[in-house]
Formats: sequence, structure tokens, C-alpha cells
Amino acid sequence: MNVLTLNDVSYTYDKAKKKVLDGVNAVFESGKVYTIVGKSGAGKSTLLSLIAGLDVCTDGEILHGGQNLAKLDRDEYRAKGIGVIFQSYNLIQNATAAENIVLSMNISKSKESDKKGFAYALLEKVGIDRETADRTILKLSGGEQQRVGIARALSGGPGLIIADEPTGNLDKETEKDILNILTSLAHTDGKCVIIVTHSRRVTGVADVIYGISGGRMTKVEE
Amino acid sequence: MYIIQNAFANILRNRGRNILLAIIILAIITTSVTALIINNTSAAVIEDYQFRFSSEAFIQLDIDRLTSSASNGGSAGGNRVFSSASIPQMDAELQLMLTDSAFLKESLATGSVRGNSGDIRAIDQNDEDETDPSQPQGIPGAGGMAFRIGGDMSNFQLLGDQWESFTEGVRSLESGRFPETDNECVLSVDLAEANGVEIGNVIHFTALLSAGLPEDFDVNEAEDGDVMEVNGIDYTVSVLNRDFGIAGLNREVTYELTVTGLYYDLNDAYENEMLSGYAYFNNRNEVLTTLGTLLQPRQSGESGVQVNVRYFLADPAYIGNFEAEAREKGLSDAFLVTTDERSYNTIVKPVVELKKISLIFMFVVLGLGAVILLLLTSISIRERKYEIGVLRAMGMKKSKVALGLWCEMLAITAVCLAIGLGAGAVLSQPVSDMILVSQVEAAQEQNSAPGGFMTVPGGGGGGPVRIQGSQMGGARIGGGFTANAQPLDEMTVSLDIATLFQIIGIALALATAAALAGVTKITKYEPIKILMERN
Ligand SMILES: Nc1ncnc2c1ncn2[C@@H]1O[C@H](COP(=O)(O)OP(=O)(O)OP(=O)(O)O)[C@@H](O)[C@H]1O
Ligand SMILES: [Mg+2]
Repeated sequence: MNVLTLNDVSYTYDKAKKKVLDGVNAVFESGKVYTIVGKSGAGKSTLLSLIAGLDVCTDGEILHGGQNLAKLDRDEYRAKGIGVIFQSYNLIQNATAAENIVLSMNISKSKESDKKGFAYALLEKVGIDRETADRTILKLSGGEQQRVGIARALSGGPGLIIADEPTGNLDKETEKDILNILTSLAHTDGKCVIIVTHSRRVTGVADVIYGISGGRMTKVEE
Repeated sequence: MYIIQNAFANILRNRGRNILLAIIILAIITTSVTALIINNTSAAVIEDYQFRFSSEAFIQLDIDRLTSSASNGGSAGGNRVFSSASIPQMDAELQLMLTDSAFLKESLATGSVRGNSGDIRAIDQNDEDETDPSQPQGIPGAGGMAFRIGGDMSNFQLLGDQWESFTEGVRSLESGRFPETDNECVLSVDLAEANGVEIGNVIHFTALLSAGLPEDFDVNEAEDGDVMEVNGIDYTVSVLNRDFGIAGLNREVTYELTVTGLYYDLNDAYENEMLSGYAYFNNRNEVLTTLGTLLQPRQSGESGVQVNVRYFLADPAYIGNFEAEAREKGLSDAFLVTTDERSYNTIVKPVVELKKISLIFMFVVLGLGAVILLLLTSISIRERKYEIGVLRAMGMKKSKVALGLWCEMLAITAVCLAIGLGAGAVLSQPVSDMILVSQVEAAQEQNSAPGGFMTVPGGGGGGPVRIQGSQMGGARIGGGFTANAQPLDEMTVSLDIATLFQIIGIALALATAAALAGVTKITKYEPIKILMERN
């Protein structure tokens, strides 16, 4: 099923005249894992932020479930429609890991009755034990923060999950764990998972691989 | 709602910053509480005093005018000498007529009559005097003529509607009741005991009412005891001083009063030691009845019943209208119509200044505080930009982010409010005292010019006149007003409900302004930009 469609998406940062993205076309379906590769500065994070609804493309359109993101209530979309794992985590620094998850669930109006319990379980699933879950983000390692970020992306139960270098700070073992989680989300739960990565191990689990260069995106492998 | 929970959690998470914020808010609120308490209490005091001092209209003899005309007229000696003929008088009709003025909130009419009784004896009554009516008994000062009229000695004062001493607490009813209708009276316990009078007894008092001398009256042709008819009523001629041409036309009237009650009197028997021993001036000999009773036998134009009316304007601003009405109804130019501005200024001005100072102080503090607060919050919002960016990236709506910030500010402000109210309530009294004392000193310097106060009681024709004022000794106009303006140098300030609500309003505004300053900052940024700046 078609989750996300990019039609001629172009993007220019306010002051720079150069197009970071220049006519990107792609279709993302549910139940599949996609990876996007490209050199540093190629525009991968930029594309993800457009897909995440943090910004709107300057040209073209992004359709989510057939609806143009530019015209959607993107706050609502971010809260419920998509789970984002940021390259730089973007967690509330002086709140605990569990509090971050609960807050995210609150924002997405989660129907879960025991939000705290759910948060602990979710963190457990990504390898954060209870003691770590009750520490503030400032007191967590990069890898731990990464996991919290993943848990948060999953907390609202979105059909679309995007991740920017989700395993960049993780050891091989954990990377495997995380990739297992992400792939099972796609293959078992039927979600659409898009991962930006440099890692060969990550592209290894992908159903479809896209490459970005020169502002354009092409299918590398299927 | 999770926004509120999160706001509370945030306050604790960012303790350091919030404590700084709280200190500033606390300072603003405490000073505002102090200033507002002082301001509102002084406002209440001012209103009260405005009512008491500037709403009473005084009809006073124009002393400057009188003294200049007296000296022009070549009166003997340097001292002020007023003969009854040369002092303009305000007649009782006019006084009573003015009580109907539409510009008044109320008026208080009282009266007095000099009386004698064949039924009872006054305390300190001296019957020997009566044997020599041709020699008026002079008392040093002004009293001599006051109790002697037409050669008759008066031993009692019949007072009409003068109940002030009861409300002031110097007199109290020992038994019985106050007069409810005319021709009832209450007596002092001492007077009743001295005469074996009991409640229910009827006592007769006689008094002299006088008519003005007809124009064709010739003192040289008149004899003491002649009977003369004026306006269909017979009067007895009494020649007081043939050389000066002073004579009177008097008739005796009788008041038949039923004693309904007896009162205790905490007053000294004599207010002025010089008058000690003269029954007429003995407070215990005062017979209290209604003004209506005293006016009953009186014919229009007659003197003998002294009427004193206090006029209270509905609004101090009506003084001009009231004067115009009085003039139109015949008030002579010899009288001034004024409000007691001097007393008002002496008493109230320090409080007005206090109010002003407290208000200015509050606005300065509020202004300065608001600026500091806005600066501080906009700095702290910049610090929190990343946090806000994250929340927005997670899909929290701008309005909810703003609500959260507002809740945080409100919670901090509420704590400061609780502490500030207490601190302000404690501080306001000493601060108020301090400012007031300095203002009282300033007011006293300004208002130190001495000045006599002169009120002329009503009474037409040839009746004697008593003038109240420092130079005239202690003769008292029954129930008359004594200007005794003491500046208000003590004021008990307290926190009332209105002040409380004002403070809460101010606090709410502060918190909102601070939150708003932050909110306008956030809404300028899209979450992507906030996040990217960080990265
Ligand atoms: N806020 C911005 N304003 C202007 N230019 C930007 C901004 N953010 C990114 N860029 C530029 O846009 C281009 C794409 O950046 P982007 O972050 O999308 O690259 P990336 O592919 O994610 O790189 P990396 O692999 O290093 O994360 C870069 O040349 C970058 O300098
Ligand atoms: Mg990137």
C-alpha cells in the first residue's frame, strides 16, 4: 500500500540559492524497509525533514495517504502519522528517558491507560533498562540517547517511521538489535520504514535502496 | 491535562532559572502589594474624610468684612466689640428653609432655648440674682449677656434635637426612653434627683420669645413693662439701656414637657471654670427635647429659639450651587458659604500625598519590573528554544506550547503571590507610617497659619449673639461644630478583598505578559529551524 509519494520534490534553504533537492520522485509502501544513501551533505537529512513535516518543499508535493503534506495539519501529522528518529536525537534534555516517551505519547493523544508502564516496556525493548529509563537525557550516552529516540518514534504507533542514521552511535550487537526491531516493524507490523544510513549492514536489511546525489534521488537496488 | 503536569515538571527541572525568575516576580509583587494596600486604604480614608470635611457647608459670618466695618464705624477700643445691633444675623426661617435644598444629602437642625421653671430648681440656681433684674450680672468674657435676657435670669437650657453627646458616648440613658414626640424630654439624673422628678412627671418651663422692634419704636417714649402689640401678639417692652437705645419686646411662653427618661452625664458640670456656679452653664441643667417642641410656640420672625443647622452637601462640588440658592433665598453678603477646606487639607492632604506616592511607586516598580521580567523571560526562552523545537517536532501545537509556558509562569507567580501578599501585608504598615509622618510634617508647615473660627447661631431680632472662637472664651453654641482639625498621622492599613483581587489581577497580567513575550518569540520559528540552529 502506498504510504508516501514524492512528486518532483525540490527544496532550497532560505538564503542559499542552490537547490539541495531538485525534482525528487519516489514512492514508499507499507511493509517495506527503505534505505537512503548518499554522501555527507547530499541532502538526506533535508529530505527526511520534509517527509517528517518539519518543513514544506519549495516545489513539488509530498503525499501522505494521498494527502498533500503542505495542506495538512502538520502538527497532527508529526504527532500521530509519523515517527522520527533524529540524527541528533532531539530529546528533552533535562527530562528522563521515560518522561520523554510519556510526553510524546501525550502529544500523540495515546489511548494507552498506563503510559508510564508502556514507556518502560518500550524502552526495555530497545535495550534501556528501568534504572537508565529514569535518568535524565543529559546523563545518557549517545547510544542510549539513540535508543530513547527510537523508542519515542515508536511510542505513538505511527504507520511511517523515518530514521536518520539510527545506528550511527551503536556497536554492532546493538545495531543488529535495532535493525531487527525496525525490520520487524515493517515486515511483521506492516509499517513503512525509511532509514538514512552510511552503513552497509543497514542497507543489507533494506527492501529498496535509494541514492541521493546532485539533488536527485535514484533507486539503487530493489 | 498533561500540559499542566509537564509545566510543573518543567519548573522543577529548571530550578536555577526559575528561582531567579521567582525572586524578581516576588520583588514586584511585594512592592505592589505594599503600594496597593497603602493606596487603597488611603483612598478609603480620603473618601471618608472628604465626606466629613468637605461635604459640610458652613454659613459663617465674614469676619474680615465685619471687623473692617466695625473699625470704620469707630467702635471703641482696639478690641472687637460687637453690639447685637451691628452683627448681621441669619434668621431661623432661612436656616430651616435651606434644609430643603436639593444640593444637600442631609441637614442637621438643632436648637436651644433659655428657660426657667417654677416646678423644679436648677442645680446651682441662684435666686438672689432675680431680686436685682436691672443690673445684668456681667461675667468676664462674653457670657454676661448670654444667660440674661430682658433682665431675666435663665437657669435652664432647653436643647432641641441635640443628641450628639449620646452617640459620642459622653451621655447615656439611665432609665426611660428618648422623646418620641414633641413635648417630651429627658433630664440628667442629677437634676431629677435634686428635684425628686420621676419619669412621667410633667414639668413646665418658661422662656422669653422676642419680636423685632417696630420701625416707629422710640425708646425714649417706652417704659419697662409697657405692653405693645406686634402682628397681633402682645409683647412686654423691656428697656435694657436707654442711652444706647437698646430695648426688647418679649413675651413669655410655656413649654409643658413630660419626662420620658433620665440620662447620665460624663461631661464636667461646667465646661469652663470661669462659668462655674452659674446654673445656666451647668451641663446637668440641660433639658433635652426635640427641635419641634422648641419651635412650637414661636411665631415667624421671633427670636429666642436659637436654631443651628448643619448642612451636608450631596457632593462637595455643589457648594457653589448651594450658595447661589442661599443668596437667592435672602442670605446677606455678610455671610460666607464655605466648606471646611482648611481642616480637610490639614487632615487629608498627607493621606492624599501618601496615596499618590504609593501609586507612583507602584507604577515605577511595575514598569521596571515588567521590563526586567520581559528581558529575563526572553533570555530564558532563547535558552529553551531547543526544548520548544523538540516539542514542536514531536507535534505539539504552538498554542499548547504557549499554554505550557503560561502555566509555568502562573505557577511561579502564584507561589510568589502567596509569599508576596504576606510580605507586603507586613511591610505596608511601617512603610505607610514612614511616608505619612513625613507628609504630616509637610502639611503642618503649610497649614500653620492661625485663624479663628466663627459661627453665628441663628436667632432674629434683638436676641444676644454668641460667637464661637478662641478670643471669646468657652461659651458654647449648643451642639455647634468645633473645628478641631488634627492631621491624620496614624492610619491602620490592611489588606481588603478589593486589594487582593487587584493584586491577583496584576500578578496574572505579569505572568501573562512574561509568557506572551516568550510565545511571540517561539511562534517566529519553525521547529526545523530551531532544531537546525542547535545542530
Ligand atoms: N539550515 C540550513 N541552511 C542552509 N543550508 C543548509 C541548512 N541545513 C543544511 N544545509 C545544507 O544543505 C545541504 C544538505 O544538508 P543535509 O543535512 O541534508 O545533508 P546530509 O545528507 O544529511 O549530510 P550528513 O550525511 O552529513 O548528515 C548541505 O550542503 C548543508 O550544508
Ligand atoms: Mg544528515
